[in-house]
Amino acid sequence: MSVAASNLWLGRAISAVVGLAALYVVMGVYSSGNTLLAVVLLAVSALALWAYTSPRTGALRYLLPGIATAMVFVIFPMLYTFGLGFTNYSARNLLSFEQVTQQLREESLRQPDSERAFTLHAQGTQWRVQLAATATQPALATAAISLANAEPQTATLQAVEDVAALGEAAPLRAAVDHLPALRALRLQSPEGAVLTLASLREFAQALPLYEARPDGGLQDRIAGTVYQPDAVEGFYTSQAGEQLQPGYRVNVGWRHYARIFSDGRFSEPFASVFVWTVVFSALTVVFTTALGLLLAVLLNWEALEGRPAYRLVLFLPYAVPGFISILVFKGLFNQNLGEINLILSGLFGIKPAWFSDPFLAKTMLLIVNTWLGFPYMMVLCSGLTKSIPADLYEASAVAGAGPWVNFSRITLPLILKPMTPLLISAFAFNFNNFVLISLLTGGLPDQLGTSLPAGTTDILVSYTWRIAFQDSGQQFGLASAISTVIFLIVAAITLVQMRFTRVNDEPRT
Amino acid sequence: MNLSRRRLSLAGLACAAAPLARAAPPEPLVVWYSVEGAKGIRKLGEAFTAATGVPVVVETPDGIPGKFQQAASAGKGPDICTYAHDRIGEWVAGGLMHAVNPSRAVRADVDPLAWQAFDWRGRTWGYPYAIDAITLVYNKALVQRAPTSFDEVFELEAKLAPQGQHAIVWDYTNNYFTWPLMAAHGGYAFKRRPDGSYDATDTGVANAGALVGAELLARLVRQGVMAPGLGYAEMEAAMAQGRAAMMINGPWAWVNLKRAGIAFGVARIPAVAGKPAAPFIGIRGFLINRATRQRELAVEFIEHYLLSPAGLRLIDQAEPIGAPASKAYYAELLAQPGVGENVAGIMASARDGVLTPPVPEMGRFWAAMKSSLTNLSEGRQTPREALDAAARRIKDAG
Repeated sequence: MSVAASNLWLGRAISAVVGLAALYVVMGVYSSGNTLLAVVLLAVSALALWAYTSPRTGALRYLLPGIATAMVFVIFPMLYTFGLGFTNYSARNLLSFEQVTQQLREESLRQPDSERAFTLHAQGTQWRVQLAATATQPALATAAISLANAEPQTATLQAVEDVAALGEAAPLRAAVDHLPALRALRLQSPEGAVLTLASLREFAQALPLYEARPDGGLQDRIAGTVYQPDAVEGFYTSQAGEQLQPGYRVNVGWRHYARIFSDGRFSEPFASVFVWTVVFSALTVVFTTALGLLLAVLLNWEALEGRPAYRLVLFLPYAVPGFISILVFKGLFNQNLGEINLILSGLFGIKPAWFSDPFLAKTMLLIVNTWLGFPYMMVLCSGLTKSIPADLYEASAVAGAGPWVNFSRITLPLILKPMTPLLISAFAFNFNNFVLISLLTGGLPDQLGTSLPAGTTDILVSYTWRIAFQDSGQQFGLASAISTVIFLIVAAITLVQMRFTRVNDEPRT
Repeated sequence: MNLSRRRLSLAGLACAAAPLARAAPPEPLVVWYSVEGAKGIRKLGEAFTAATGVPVVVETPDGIPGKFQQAASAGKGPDICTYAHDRIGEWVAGGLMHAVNPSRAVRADVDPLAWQAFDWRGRTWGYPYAIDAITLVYNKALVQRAPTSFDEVFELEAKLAPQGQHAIVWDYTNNYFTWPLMAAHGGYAFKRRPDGSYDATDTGVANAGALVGAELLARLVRQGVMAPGLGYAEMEAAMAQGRAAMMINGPWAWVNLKRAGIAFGVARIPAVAGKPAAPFIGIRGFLINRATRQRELAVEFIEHYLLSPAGLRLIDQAEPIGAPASKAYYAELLAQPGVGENVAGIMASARDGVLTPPVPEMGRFWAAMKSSLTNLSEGRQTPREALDAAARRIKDAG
């Protein structure tokens, strides 16, 4: 066999193994109930297998890792969220219709005081089940029965004359070992009562609470009420409108969207939250860029000694994880114990209420976010300023220009263009900067006089989070709908900005 | 559908893994509990395994309620989950728990107050083991006898203020700690209907009774007993450094006081204008996951191991559970010097209290009250305005 042929076979064997492994994973994901994820994974792995085995795929081989990652981690969650927005998925409507129906059918009521302790007595490979005597009832036992498998069986109980003749009772462990069979066992007492397993030590009479009707409804055996599945609300509902818990997931169409846009209580604080979101993101971008650019230009100054050291120190705020520095700042700004107020009260005798005054809280957020964001802009700007040809500055020096003219006529125009896409993405990032808001102020202080709680420092995402998760149980469906709306807003802003700055049409030279 | 799916995939997996198949070891019984207390449960688990052959695995996840909801709705999670009763309304509505039928012995041993918490929609949903209520915690070096009314608190403040110390401090914007004052004269979160359910449209956070408590809080802040903008961390620091004589807090705060070397006592929260303060009572219990395949084993482990006096002792030694719901074990703790009086303090406070309504609408109540208490303490709103705003939010959000 030639080397080429054996390589071919080796390749086929490897792709077969990889394919099987992928199918195994997809199967597992599917059986755990995540159909959509399984489909995405199947599509991605099929695409991958094809791309790396077919001779006709060229560039796809190199693009595939990126495309696959985007599909699994970006497109799939987005579609999933979008889909959830059309369901009533929430803490009350958590399970599927099938699960809920099964639960309600299994629902049973135990007859009070019908519990009887039982013991198992070995008879060769078979067992006799004995119900111990009580104050009012004699001891009962079954004939020898098999407890080897979980097939449903009914055994009749008879009074036991001589309990000692049954032999020693088996330890509790025997009941554990034969649990599946005991669960399927029905004991019929001489009076005709049917007992089923109630615990590891007891049998008891239990009645199913609901009877399944041929039309798909459930009838309460005691009260007689009929409950029909309501596909609009996701509950089994009686004629009188009484709903059985638990509820199940159903499709509710555009209901959440209608609520977001037509319900006055939603739109009331929405405008102010939206304005602050835009202001917050815009000012953050302006401040971080201004500070970053200033420092970058200063650090480009040839006469400055030890520039790498400065650069390293100034980059540090970016290297420390955000959630640590945010919490540190939260402590620093504390009204009574914080170092910032200690210094301010020592110098000027003032103690600003950083967390309770709306304006100061917003100021604080911007200060902290500028601190967190400027190093990135600084590094970016210093890289871009390096790429400006030095002869431009020589020419301007010959023309007698000062540093300000250098900056405003040469540096700024030359780095602003390549930076624009990054500024837009920084804006979009801060538009959804949930971590900062929730860790630093939690959206507080509160807006006075709104009927839904909304904070003066809440941005759209943190406002969504409040409505969906803090208010009254988890409302995943509603939260997904609001997230979709926010996504559309951010996408629209980004598109408009890109068009406005014509980034995509810029001819590259 | 799910079942057939599971079968299908099991068939698929069985084909793939046929040579590896062997007699399955017994499925372990999984229990969720707090990190410290888990040590006690592991010891109990060994005894259970010896008797039944079923291993017990104790897991200690962070944020049990969120994880339990997520796992149980996907048919996974622990067999036995440990949590306070205030989530059961939501979990019953979600179909995440099995109703339980406690044996007569267990029924008789546990305090009726604790059973009340787990009775919901006509069924019992868990086995209570501990009763939680916040109390007054006082520094014995600064207060000889715990004050029984807030008038005495103001007198104490007048005595301590010249030395730069304060009479009382608590995390007052957190309504959990402030609510005892509001409930003293009849403030309520949601009206309880005769059948035991709660009316989410009827809230008593702005009634005359609640106003008495809110005005007391406003007075405490206005007169400088408590500083504005103060939170839980400041409270702990003030107590540990001996700058404050008393705080309103739960038993979880005792550890840090002991560490700081403070000799402290536990007592009922001072009365508000002649009526006892009424804290929220939380009952911690063992719940059985609806998705469990070992319901009988879970019941056995809870009734005969976790809730037995020996079991409670092991759990309590690993991490103090506060006031036990078991009458027998409570009596045992009462007799212990150094523990008994503190446990009795929690129980006394709980006897004055009201059960936290186990309904998801409470999220609205906490959020609205936090905002209102913050505004009130900062003087942005008067007590009347703050409470009216909270009441409006709680009602309107429904």
